[in-house]
Amino acid sequence: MIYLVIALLAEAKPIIAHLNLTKSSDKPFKIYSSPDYKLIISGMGTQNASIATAHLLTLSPPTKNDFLFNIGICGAPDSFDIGEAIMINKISSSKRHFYPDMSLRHKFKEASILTVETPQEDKCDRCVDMESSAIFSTALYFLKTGQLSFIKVVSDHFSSKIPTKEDINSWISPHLENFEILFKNADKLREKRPLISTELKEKSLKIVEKLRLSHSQKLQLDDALIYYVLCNNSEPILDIPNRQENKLQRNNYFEDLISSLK
Amino acid sequence: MKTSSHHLNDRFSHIYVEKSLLHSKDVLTIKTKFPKATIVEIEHYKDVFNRTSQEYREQKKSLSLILAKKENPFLYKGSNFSDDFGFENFFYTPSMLNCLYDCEYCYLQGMYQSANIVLFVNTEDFFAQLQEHLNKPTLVAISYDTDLLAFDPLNQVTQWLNFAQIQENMHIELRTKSANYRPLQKLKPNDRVTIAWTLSPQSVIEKYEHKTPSLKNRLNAIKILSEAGWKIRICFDPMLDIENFSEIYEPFVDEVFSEIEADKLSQCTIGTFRIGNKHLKNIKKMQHSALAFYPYEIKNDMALYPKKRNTFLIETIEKIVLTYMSKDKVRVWQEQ
Repeated sequence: MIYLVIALLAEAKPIIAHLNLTKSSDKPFKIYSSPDYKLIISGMGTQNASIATAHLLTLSPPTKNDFLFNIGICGAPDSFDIGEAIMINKISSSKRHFYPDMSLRHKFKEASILTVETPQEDKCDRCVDMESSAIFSTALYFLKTGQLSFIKVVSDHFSSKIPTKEDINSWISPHLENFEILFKNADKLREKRPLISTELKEKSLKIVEKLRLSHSQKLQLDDALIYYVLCNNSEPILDIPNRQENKLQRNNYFEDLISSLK
Repeated sequence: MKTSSHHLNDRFSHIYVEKSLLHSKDVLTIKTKFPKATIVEIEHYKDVFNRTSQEYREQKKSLSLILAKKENPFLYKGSNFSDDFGFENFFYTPSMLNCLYDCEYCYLQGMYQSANIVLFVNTEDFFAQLQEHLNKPTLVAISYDTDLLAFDPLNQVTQWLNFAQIQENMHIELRTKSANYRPLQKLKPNDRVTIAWTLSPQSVIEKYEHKTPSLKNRLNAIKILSEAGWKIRICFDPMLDIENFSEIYEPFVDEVFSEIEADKLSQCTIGTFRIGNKHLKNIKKMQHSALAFYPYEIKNDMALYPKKRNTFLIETIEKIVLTYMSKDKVRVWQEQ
């Protein structure tokens, strides 16, 4: 699953259309979904961004295979062109710095960003937005540093002019193909098959129950199963034992089972 | 399913540099060695290295480099897992944290949250603190939580060996799996410097010591440096309890001594895999290597092979080693 946190509907609209997402929730936040994507419109500012991120990731808890992108417009120094897309490698707030892992290959220029509480009109030596630090710090309750990515599109060089929906659309739209490639690459990067299949997990739980294994014996069995799978690159064939009459029988059965997995 | 590596940035595509070092000579050197790298300014290395919610295994696929200035302390007491070779003063120096290699049994996986490499540039501060202890013979392991010879963009090995050359009480142990003999070839051999080369059978290297040089290349490096007069210790340590242990390890030991003249070696150490239980627990969470799930015996918070099996592994190899080297040159790692 790819999660997208976007502040404004105007920023999200071209992405929603490009990925064919449909509205799945209206309140407290608008959410647009497809089988592979969940996009939330957070609203502007750190508080909205934080609550929306937590809401999205609580509603649909992520796994190790998932990835979250924050996409939106930002103010930037003159060295960046209006409409240029930037991959963020450092996020600063007034109090802290955050660093997303930069393992995902991309085609954008990179820069650091400062998250502020109110729109910035004074010149600054780095990019400025109003959400990144809040999204990063909230998302870390659910995801790892390597599952987060922040892309900003330059909307102004610190001017007070409010961009129109059309302006925003014209800045975001040229990057849609590259965004989608990045989403798909992130998805592939995180794609992993669990080491132990659900079927084997269920079988091992039945064995635990039938043999009335203690907690430490259960851990021993879990370790032995993982050891077997990693050594053999395949899962063992386990039989569910019949009811064992006494503790001695159960323990013997257990010891034989562990030996067979070595 | 395997990860497609072309979706990942190359190793050291990003170099994090502490603000105070941004314009230092060392950082300029690093920039010339990695001209395509993106430099990210940081306040303190721990802001990146000690972040919460990192994934060691994922980061290992696309390493970043962190350049920092180490703060006190610069020396640490040698651990019980290592042989002090009879030195009362035995320290290790963390000039670098983490390693370029990716050995499945490595304790570093369970030690740090991050796989990224921290390189401390202020070697002179390490020297200054060490100087205080050099009133008596002192052993310093300079390649401890890393393999310094494998990745040494600032020539720190040379700096350390030059320092040792003028300090009569200073003994250096340089541990490595690298095949990089060139920095040492340029220097005058020093009797107080021991290069400790970890050797494993080629099949073990391929299966468990990822990204390390082949046995052939390690042996070639040993041959060149031993003939040049450097003190070399070969280490059959850690030996792994693998299937067909004897069939794999016995011919391997013979191969090593057929390539290297035993007389030219200062020592041989033999030891089996052991690890702190806390580190083992962390490594288990990664579910990456079968080695972590071996049914070890836990003793004094250390995971070891079961005593009987351990004795067999050690004795099998010790017997062969002793046909090539005299007993006084062979050290067997024993639980403290």
